[in-house]
Amino acid sequence: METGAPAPGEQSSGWADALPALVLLVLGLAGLATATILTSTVPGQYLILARPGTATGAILDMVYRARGGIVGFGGLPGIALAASDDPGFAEAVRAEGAWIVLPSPKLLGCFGPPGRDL
Amino acid sequence: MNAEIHRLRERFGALLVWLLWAHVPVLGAAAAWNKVMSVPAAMLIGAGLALIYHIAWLRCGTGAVTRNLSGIVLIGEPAFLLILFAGHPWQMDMHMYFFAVIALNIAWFDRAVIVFSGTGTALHHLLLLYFLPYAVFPSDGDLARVVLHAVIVIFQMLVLLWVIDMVRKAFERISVMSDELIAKSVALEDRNRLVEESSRAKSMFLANISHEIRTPINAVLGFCHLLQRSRLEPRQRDHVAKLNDAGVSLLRLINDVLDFSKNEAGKLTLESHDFDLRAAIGSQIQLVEESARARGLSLAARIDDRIPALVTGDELRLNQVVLNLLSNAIKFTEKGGITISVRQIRSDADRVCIECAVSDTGIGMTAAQQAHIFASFMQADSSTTRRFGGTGLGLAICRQIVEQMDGRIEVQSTPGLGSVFTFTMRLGIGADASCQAPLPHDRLRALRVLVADDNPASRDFIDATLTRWNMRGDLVPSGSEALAMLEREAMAGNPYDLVLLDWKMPGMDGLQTVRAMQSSPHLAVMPTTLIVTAYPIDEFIRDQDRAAISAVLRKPLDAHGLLDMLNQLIPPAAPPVSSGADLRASSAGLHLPQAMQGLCVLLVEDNAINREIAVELLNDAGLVVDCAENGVIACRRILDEDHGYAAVLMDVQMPEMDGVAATKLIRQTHSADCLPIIALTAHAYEEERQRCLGAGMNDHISKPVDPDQLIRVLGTWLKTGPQAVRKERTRAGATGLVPVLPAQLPPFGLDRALRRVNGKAALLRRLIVSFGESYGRVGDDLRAMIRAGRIEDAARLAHTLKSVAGSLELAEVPDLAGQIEAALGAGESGAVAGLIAELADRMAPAIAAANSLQPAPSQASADAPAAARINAASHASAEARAARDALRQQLCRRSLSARAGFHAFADALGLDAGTRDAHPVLQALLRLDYAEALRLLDGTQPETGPDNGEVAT
Repeated sequence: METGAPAPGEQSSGWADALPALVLLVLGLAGLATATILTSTVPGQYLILARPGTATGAILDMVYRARGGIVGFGGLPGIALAASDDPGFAEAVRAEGAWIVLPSPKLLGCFGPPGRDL
Repeated sequence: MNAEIHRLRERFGALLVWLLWAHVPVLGAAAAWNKVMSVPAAMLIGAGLALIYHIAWLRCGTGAVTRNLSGIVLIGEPAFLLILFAGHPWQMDMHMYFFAVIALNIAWFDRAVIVFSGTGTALHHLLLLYFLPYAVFPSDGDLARVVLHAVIVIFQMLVLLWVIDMVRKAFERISVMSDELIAKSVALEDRNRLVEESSRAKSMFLANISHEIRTPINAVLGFCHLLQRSRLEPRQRDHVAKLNDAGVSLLRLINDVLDFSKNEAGKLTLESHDFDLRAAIGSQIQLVEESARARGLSLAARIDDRIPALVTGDELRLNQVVLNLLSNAIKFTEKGGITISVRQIRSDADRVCIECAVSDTGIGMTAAQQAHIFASFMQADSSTTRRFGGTGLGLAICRQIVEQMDGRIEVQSTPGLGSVFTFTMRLGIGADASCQAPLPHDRLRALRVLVADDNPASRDFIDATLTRWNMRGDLVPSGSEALAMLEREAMAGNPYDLVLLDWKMPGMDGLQTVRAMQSSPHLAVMPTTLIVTAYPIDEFIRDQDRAAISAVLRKPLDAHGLLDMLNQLIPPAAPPVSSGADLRASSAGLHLPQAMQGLCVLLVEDNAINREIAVELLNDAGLVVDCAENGVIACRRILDEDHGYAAVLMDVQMPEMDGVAATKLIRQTHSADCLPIIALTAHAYEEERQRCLGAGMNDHISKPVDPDQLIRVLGTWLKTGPQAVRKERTRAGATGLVPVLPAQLPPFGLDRALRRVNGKAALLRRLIVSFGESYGRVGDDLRAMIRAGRIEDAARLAHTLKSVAGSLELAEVPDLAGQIEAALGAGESGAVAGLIAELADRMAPAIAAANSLQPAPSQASADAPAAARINAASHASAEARAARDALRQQLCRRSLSARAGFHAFADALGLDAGTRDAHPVLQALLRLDYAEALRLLDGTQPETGPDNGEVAT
């Protein structure tokens, strides 16, 4: 007869057992963020991530020099949305000093109205 | 952890494997539908999630790693669906799925998993629904809604944690209760086992005690039966009768206790067969009518005409109930009468419900006494037990039986006025009586019958039976009326052909009526006359009676038995028997039909006393008996030696090999049809009977053996085919069944003496030889006793001589001995000298005749080599040596069973009847001279050397 004794795996629960789940959580969130950004992009519109601390004007100059225009700035410093018809815009902005240039997502989260175009 | 929770986790863990893999096509479909991502990529991601969990499940089972991972993997599914439904109106609805998968994790009953999945969901929302939109589109970071979602998720998480705690506590409580229940169950099982063992031990005790008690009762009743058939002084007969009554009472008591305990144990099994209810009731009435008559009570029966001729049920148990109620009614009734009435209260196509009421005018009972009258070991009150005796089990057994038959039993009683015991019973309706019950042939139906019985119930029974047989019968209540009817009808030229006379009737009894019929000048031709009695009647029947009585029928009279007897007496194509020629063959039903006379049966019985009784009964019935002391010997006789037995009577409990094992062995080569085996067992249990029948036995007789039943059962099973008869005739010649007495042996009246010993010539020969040895010097002995002043001894010797000489039909000697006894009793010692001298003269030819039956010296001498051969044979035969050793021990113990032991020894030696009867050891045993028998037996021991083969015999 079985009693209230712990079953296999029950008593060894600890951080070591939680680690795989935590790693998966971190990687999953990163992957979801990436997938969120990369899916459903807006053609000719880019998300620009500059070095943290870069001033807004410097980002504006950077975009203009790459023959594009600023659509808006993100909530965090160093993040901007730009638009350009130049197929080499992404390369040009990186050349001007941007860290990461990605196609701009159409929308983020699930609270906004569908099919929003900025 | 609770084992039940562990089992639930295992089932849920396995379910999750299938559930996660099932998401893969769903994700692919979502991707194909909303076109946010390529289908393969979506399916690949879904497969990745399923694979992560699957690997964890395979490696860690239900361990914490697997559980924690499952919490994250599960919320990964709705999170990924949010992406796949990006821009679609359903995207928002995918949040519902978060709640579903978080709730699904409750099946792990693990707080950590719920915390993981809830925290993961909250982080997912903060990152992807607030931080990331805010980072890109500052206006989209709706922190309030994210917080709202997070609060709902946390609330759900708290609810789930509470539920998990509650469920786990409930499981813990259930586990504790389960542990306690299991512990109690184990204790209960132990107790049950002890109770069952105790019950089994009780059953074994009952079975064993039954065997142990029944065996000596068998001896007591058996010898009583034999004694009652011998010549006894009135005082001795009275003592024997009382001894027999006590034995019967003891047996009834044991049967009651056994019945009750068997019923209590739920082992009362009812049989079902067709029977005649009227005959069954009539039989029970006949069983008690003598008791009723002795107490001056009337006995009447009323049976509903609507009751079918044949009903189906357990006749034996029904009889038990009826007999018990009738016996009680008689016991508790001082004056008045008892009435038994049976009526049909309802019936359908195949069942009939009967109500039987036994009413009396006895002492009655109060309401309080009635309340517990059917309880075990209860009588009306303790004074009842003191006054009337009994165990108080009878009515309890009746209740058990009646309830088993879907009926009920109740009593209505008024103190001082009487009681009415009523029981109902459901019985089947038997097959058509005309198809089942045999009817008399035409010659019987044409007979005019007169029945004389003072008991109205018996008259009614016989009247009903005759009516069913389409026979004419006139009934009268007394012998004198019967005689008057016989004379009147004879004078009118319309005489009766058949007369049934009850023996015990007030006024002129049955025998007196027969004598009056014989001396009646108006009865030129005596009708076929049957005496009906419940008592041993042999000793009261005179020689002249035998000429007029065709048969004696035992009560209770049953229709089948009566018809069988009538068929024997008046066969279809033979003239009526009107002489007493067949009296002995039919007397008391203890003789088998002529066709079975002389058949050989094997009696397998280890108890010497029981063996002796059975041999006597079987011999009396006209059978030749071989004996075996155990199953091994029986099997050897049947399987190896093939004596062509007509039947085997098999004791069940025996040393070396019991009856069941022996029967199974015999049945491998001898079918039940060709060799009937009848069990003799002291066990009264149905299981024992079934065990015997299951082993292949044909029938079962319980001990103490009832002689009637023994002969009846043998009559049913004995084989009477020509092969059996031929074997018997051959055997009779081989075993020395030759006349052991001359045709005449004056002055002994051999014919009459033979009749006294039921025709057993060998026994009569032994008696005569013994007489010669015992009384050869009776004159000298008497004179010596008188000279020594031992007058009482002399009178006793004369008395014994009178009795023995009378039984041997010696003319004059009994009278002379009686005169000597009377003279000695009167103190006239001097006058007896002349009588003794005359006695010696009269005894001389008798002694000479008796001595003529002794083996002549030359013959004894001639027998010496034969004895030596016997010794040689016995020397070589282990069986003979064993038999001789057993006999020697019996002689040393001065055991009565030594006679049986000698016969076993003689069997082993193969002695024929003549040699056996003349054997000095047997002669010494018959004189109860054990020392002489032992000396003679030891004298037959073979010496060690071949030259010392002489024997002392």
